Amino acid sequence: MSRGIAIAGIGEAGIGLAPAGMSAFDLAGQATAAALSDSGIPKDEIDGFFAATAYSSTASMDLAEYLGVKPRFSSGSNTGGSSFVSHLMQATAAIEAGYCSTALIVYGSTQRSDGGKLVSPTRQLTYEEPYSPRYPVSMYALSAARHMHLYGTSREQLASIAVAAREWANHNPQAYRRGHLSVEDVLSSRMLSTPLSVLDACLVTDGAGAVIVTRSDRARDLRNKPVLVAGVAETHHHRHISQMEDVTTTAAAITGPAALRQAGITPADVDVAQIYDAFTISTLIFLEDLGFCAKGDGGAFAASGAIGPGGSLPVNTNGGGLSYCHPGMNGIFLIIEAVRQLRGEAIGLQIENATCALVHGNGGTFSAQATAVLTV
Amino acid sequence: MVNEKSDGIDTAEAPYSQYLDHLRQGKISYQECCSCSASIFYPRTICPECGSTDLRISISSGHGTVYSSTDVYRGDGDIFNVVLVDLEEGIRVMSTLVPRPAHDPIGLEVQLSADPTALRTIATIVEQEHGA
Repeated sequence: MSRGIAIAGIGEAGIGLAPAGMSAFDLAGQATAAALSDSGIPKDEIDGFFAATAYSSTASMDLAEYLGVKPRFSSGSNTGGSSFVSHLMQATAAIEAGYCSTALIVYGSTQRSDGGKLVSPTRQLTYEEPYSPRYPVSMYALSAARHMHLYGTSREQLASIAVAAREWANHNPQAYRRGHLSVEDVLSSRMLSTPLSVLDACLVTDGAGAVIVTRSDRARDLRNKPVLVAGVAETHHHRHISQMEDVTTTAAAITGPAALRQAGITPADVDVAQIYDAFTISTLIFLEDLGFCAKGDGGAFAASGAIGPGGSLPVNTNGGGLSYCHPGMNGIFLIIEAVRQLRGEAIGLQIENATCALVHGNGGTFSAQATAVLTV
Repeated sequence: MVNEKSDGIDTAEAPYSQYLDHLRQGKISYQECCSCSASIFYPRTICPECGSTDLRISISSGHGTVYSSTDVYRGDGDIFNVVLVDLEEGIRVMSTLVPRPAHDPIGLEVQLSADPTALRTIATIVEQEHGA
């Protein structure tokens, strides 16, 4: 299914630190202009609109007004960082159903300029709040602590994931954080919530991204090689960490196989993976849940060098949320980097002959999971 | 039964209010589904397992096992613990280990008690007999 839908345009703006005074919507406007130009599709052809932001509870209306888009199909559904992979699924369904023909998915944030605080309308669960966990790092720390307890996973193995991300970023002039990073640097960085320290956590940056989705027959005549949506699946099983059945296994174990099955492939066929790395433990758990290694082996797999430059499974090839950018929510940048790799247009290291990319978005506290398989 | 109302506000059947009322009495409450026997926490108006609205309130023994644990480092230098505890009644709750554990506490037996002032629970490691 879904072989008839393609990504026809991508755009980014304000990655890292945006020019002074620019708002999240200003950046989203620039990213949209870049994506329209990239695709060659005129703005008035956009009749499907998808947006999520922490700045507004009516993101789709507010942002569509700014951009001058009057959609026939509109969604501002917000599942946190996974929203935009979820939007890709909604756009695919809406286009296939005939509710719209060309969809824009857009996100912008000035989290860095705003002072680095997580802009979030999220209220903690009333039954968790009295214990004052640091949201969201303590929730991911509870997952990491249990993974370490059950499988002997080490802080060094977790740190190797941040090191791999930095090695990718060191080849990417657009990455916000570059420079040498060692496992020891990660281990000795400021502790946030054991076992996760500040270098186990994603960046706080500005940034905006836009993705244009349309029928593949329309995409064939456009400026760039269409990237097909070969499979896409989502779910969420809980919102709060205390409601998560097993904190070491996410619902990516469902969405990953479902998306791969739709595409008719297995994990071994994936040339490059963009996996939401809010924290080092996120990458580790998703490598397992998506089927790239067995449950419990994620630490050894990551520390082996498999996910870094030259490894068997290139992961987060732009530097990821840990070193490229992470403006509050990261999902759209995963899609954009996957498209760049499949077009052969990576800004950093290009994976040779990449024809199949897996994109995995995560939202909340290992809550919402969305996986897409993209092919050329 | 009609509940007494004062100032037009009646929270006697509101799940969260009931939970807090029990904490004030030093009790840790949860729900059991009369239809499917599921143990439910946090308290709700519908069973998340079977959809029944026939739920009854039960009081937990507070006895359980540490499921996971993290020490939280605040920006102001304060360090404290947050745990997830599996209680023997089949529910998982967040709590805090006091004192903070010196070693990995996952799998250790703990006793939770209600803190009627802070309206939360406190977890204490149940010391095992040595040489047993």
